[in-house]
Amino acid sequence: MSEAAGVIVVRGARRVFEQGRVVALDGVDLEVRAGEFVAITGPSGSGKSTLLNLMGAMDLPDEGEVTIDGTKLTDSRTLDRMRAEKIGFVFQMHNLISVLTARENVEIPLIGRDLPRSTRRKRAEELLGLVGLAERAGSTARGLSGGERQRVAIARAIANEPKIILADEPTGNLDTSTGDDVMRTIQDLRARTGAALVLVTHNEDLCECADRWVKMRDGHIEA
Amino acid sequence: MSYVWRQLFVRKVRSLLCILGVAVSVAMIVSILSISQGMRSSLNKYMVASGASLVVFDRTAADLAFSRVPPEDVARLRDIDGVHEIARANFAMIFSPKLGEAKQTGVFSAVFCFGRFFDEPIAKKYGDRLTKGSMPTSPSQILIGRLVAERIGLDVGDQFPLFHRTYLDIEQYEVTGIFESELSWENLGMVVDARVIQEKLGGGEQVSLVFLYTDPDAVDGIRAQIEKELPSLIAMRSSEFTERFSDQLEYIDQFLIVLQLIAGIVGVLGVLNTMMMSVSERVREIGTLRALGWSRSRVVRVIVAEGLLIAVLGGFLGLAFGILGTEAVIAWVSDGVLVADYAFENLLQGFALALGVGFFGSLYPARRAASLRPAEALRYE
Repeated sequence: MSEAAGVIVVRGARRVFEQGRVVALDGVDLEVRAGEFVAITGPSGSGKSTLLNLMGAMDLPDEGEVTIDGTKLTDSRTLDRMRAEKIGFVFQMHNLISVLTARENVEIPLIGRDLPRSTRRKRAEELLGLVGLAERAGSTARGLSGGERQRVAIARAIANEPKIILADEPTGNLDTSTGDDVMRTIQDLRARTGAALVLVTHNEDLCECADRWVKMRDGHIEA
Repeated sequence: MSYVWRQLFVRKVRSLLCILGVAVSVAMIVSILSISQGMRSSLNKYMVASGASLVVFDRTAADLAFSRVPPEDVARLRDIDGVHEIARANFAMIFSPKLGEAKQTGVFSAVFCFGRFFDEPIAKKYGDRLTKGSMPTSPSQILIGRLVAERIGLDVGDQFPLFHRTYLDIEQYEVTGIFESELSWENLGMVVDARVIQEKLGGGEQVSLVFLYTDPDAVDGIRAQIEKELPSLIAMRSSEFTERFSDQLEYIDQFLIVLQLIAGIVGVLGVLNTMMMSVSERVREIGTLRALGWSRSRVVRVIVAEGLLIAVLGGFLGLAFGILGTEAVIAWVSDGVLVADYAFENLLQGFALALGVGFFGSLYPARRAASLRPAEALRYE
């Protein structure tokens, strides 16, 4: 795997907490290619979320380096820019802003990119159409079901046309049927946008669909 | 903007209380500034209404109450070329026996005694303001303002002892007329023969002020002549007189600065508390916004905008409270004696205070919000 081909390149990443007493990641190497679907599994405390935070430009490693689409992450300004331009997040708890409508939630990443209001609105409505929620655009997050909220979160994740979608247990709080529906939506949109997908999950069935399955334990990648 | 606006309604009562806190600070400042400005404007109107070109008084007097112009200087002023007419004035503030017996309803239980010579122009102007009766013709006769008449229940023809002692051997003063001035505080006064006040003040034939009526073109020349020949006196145009009086009120300005500081600090603390609580309740939400690409500066702008929105609403409400409250104080507490001038600068100053409170009160919470690391904020329960 050449470094140039990786949309995310993690080299020798080490991340510790509590003044070094907790080693969350210990010299992790991982490369995710453009358009690739990588599933990450592992028991609680194995370092999955910490690795996802590094790949999502939400944190910096104590040692090693992380490169996103050719840009090495070095400071908070670069992290901000990468999150705004290259990365889309789908959280386990959807994390919609409850006072905003579905459309306004989808607009959030576009606001971060200083797009005009009319452009934001049009794009948000298109994306809600893609996830089958065009008619719920004006509903506040409180008025949506769990599955609908997660689909809004998916639409929000791809709003800024990211090269990377990071999904942290996106079906963890949903029933099986709704979870399958949400995963299908994520896969469809990934195929449509050509973005790489990194999925952190406990559901090994989902990993069978991935291009690559990364198993973690005690801050290391096992396979 | 809709995000900022809707945050107000997440905790409605807290937002409302914070807005009210800002409004009270603004209202207090607007009210005091307007009354202070109103009193100054009122004094200016009073001087302009005299119609005199120049006002002359004791150069060394720190306050008009202490100004003494001796009769020989008055005579020399009268003899200056270009001076058509003069009017002498003195004044006192008294509690008369009659007033003491009357039930007082307002905060101003004392009344002004305007000492005037009834045949001089400064006294004659009251003739145009009479609502009842006629001008006095002897030292034992007086005019009373509308408020004095209403408060004490006096009418034309009534006689009463004005002072505890007799001056010019006068025991009873007869009301010959009731006047109404556009300056509300003047209505809480009486026009008394200046010789009565002179005897009460014990300064012989000294007066406090001399109004000079001159050719308009000769004003500067006459003024220069007075400065040269009567160096113990100072001659001023009406507008300058008001400025000098305003200088004497400088301590009020300093008091206002202190009040504004206190109002500002209280307001800032209120907004600070509200915004800190709001930020601490929205850690996860702010983490989400940061994860979705919002920069630190955008988070700062949003939180400051929330503070400013509270400030703007509080500011407008404060202006309304300030004006309504001042009018209520003037109508019910001061019986119309106080006057307020809602000058645009004063309203602007009140509104600027609100904006300052909103900005500085939200700056620290905004910085706290922006400093949250997204990864940690998203883990926050």
